[in-house]
Amino acid sequence: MSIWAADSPAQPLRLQASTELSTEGYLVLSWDAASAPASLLLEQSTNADFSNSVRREVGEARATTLTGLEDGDYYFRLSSASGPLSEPVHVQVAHHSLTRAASFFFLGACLFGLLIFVIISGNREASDPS
Amino acid sequence: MNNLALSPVTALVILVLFGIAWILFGYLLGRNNRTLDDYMLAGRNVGMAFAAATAMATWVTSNTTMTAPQVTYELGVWGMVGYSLGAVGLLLFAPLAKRIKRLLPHGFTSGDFIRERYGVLAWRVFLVISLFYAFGWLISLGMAGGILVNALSGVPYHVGMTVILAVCVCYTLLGGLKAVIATDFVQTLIIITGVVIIAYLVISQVGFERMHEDLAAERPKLLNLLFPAAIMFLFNNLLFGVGEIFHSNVWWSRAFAFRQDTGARAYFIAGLFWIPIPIVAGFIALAAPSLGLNVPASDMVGPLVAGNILGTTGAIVVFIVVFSALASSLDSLLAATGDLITQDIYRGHINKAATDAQCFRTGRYIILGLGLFTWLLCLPRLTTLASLLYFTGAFVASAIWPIVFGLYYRWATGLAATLAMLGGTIAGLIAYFTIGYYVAAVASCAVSLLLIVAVSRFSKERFDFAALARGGQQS
Repeated sequence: MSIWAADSPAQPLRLQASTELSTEGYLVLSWDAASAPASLLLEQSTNADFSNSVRREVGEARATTLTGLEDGDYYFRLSSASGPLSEPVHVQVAHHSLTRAASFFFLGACLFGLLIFVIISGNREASDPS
Repeated sequence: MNNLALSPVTALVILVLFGIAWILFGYLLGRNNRTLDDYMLAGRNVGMAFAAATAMATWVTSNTTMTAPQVTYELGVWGMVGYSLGAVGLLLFAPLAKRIKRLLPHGFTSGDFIRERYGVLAWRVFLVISLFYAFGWLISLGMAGGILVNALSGVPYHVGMTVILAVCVCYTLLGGLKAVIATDFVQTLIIITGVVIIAYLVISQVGFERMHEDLAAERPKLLNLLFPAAIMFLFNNLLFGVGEIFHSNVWWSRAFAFRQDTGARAYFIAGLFWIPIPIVAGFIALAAPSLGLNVPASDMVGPLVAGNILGTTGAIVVFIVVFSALASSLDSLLAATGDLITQDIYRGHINKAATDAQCFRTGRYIILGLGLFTWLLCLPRLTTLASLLYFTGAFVASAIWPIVFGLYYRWATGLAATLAMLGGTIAGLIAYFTIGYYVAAVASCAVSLLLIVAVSRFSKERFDFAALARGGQQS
């Protein structure tokens, strides 16, 4: 259960994540800003108890997009200087396997190589008067 | 907290001044349009400088100036490099443009080719794909206009989107392809000059070391060359770009409009000049963590960073560059989609006996209708630019092989092309929803290839390319 600071709004802010599982290391967090204070902070931690959390100022925005996250469990919550303002949200980042990535990469490379070959040989045949 | 780089009044003044200039330009150029060829294909006599400029300017779109930063922000260094591979589409279309002009000297649209080459069924499937893509692109451009104005100046999304859309519809309506190509020429000069200025300002004001340190600490995956989604994105973006250009009437109408032997060189030069633009546009997104910027939606990152780093003067330059990029693509797409609907839907399905004069008149109403329809679909701002754009990748990549085999090889059949486009699109959509937007085009292209080759092998039918020229004359 969260402990609310004295100057926190009466209703906790509702923080939402665009996904519970991100396979690309990016996600969008959004919240209802109607009752949010002007100097809103977003806390990010890899621990559920928010030890070693990182705080970012998000001002009066209603959303933020985070990218480039490594594999792992991430916890987010909104807060002000005096304490947390929302329940925590949990998002797991688990990138696609490199095998899958390499498969699509090589498939794409083969298609590209074949395309060049088809166009070059097609042009050669088309320009051949015989 | 993000500070707005421009006041709403400054943004609206720029919009109005440039809007008036483009519309006036369109009016002056459109006064001498007498025939359908003049209006739709600029008299089929566009020279080298204008040809290369219009090809490049049209391909520098909101997708380059705003989606390239988004993709870089989401997929890192490979996202930036992958986006620049979009130039391959222009480079590979160079030989195709020459072939198209030779095979269909009197053609009007890409639909003309598909109909004459593969028959009515393939033509209808192709039209659905092509129109779906055109609307996806039109909506992404309209949305980008609104997002740009909103991110830089705080002017509501709907206001910016409406003004930019209205300006482009007006001058396209007045001047036809001639106005589109001429404004593209001016817009190319603005885009290249602006990008050079922005690159200089960014490099001089933000250190590489600081950016690298902050990214390594906060967004390590963006610097990782083994970032799986980004690796998948590389060839997907290349094939998506190829699919966009190979099938779209935007590029075919230019191939018809350019002088004989101009098209190939123009597309090649345009491709080379285009390569560095998404690199520069994408690079600035990597400065967002160093600047402590909050990015509410990743498609806003480009203008947000530019406005923050470059101040008011820089923001004005960015605003003008992106506005020019938007306009140069929006007008081209409106004109080419208008042509496709006029020629392939109105004349092909509704009024087969329509004269050129009737098509000329109808084409203007169609462009107006397209503008209104796009405006309605832009109102709700349904998704981000990249998600919308790459969704269409599932559709367009399925048309690559039917176009290429159809242009060069006699054995490709209508049934095979139809199945390739349908099967490729379905495979692309499955990949889009089950894996991600960064694989839709690869999956679509691969399945399309298998189907067109496999199904054509069962047929002994061989196409006579001379029939294309005869068919083109009838249309």
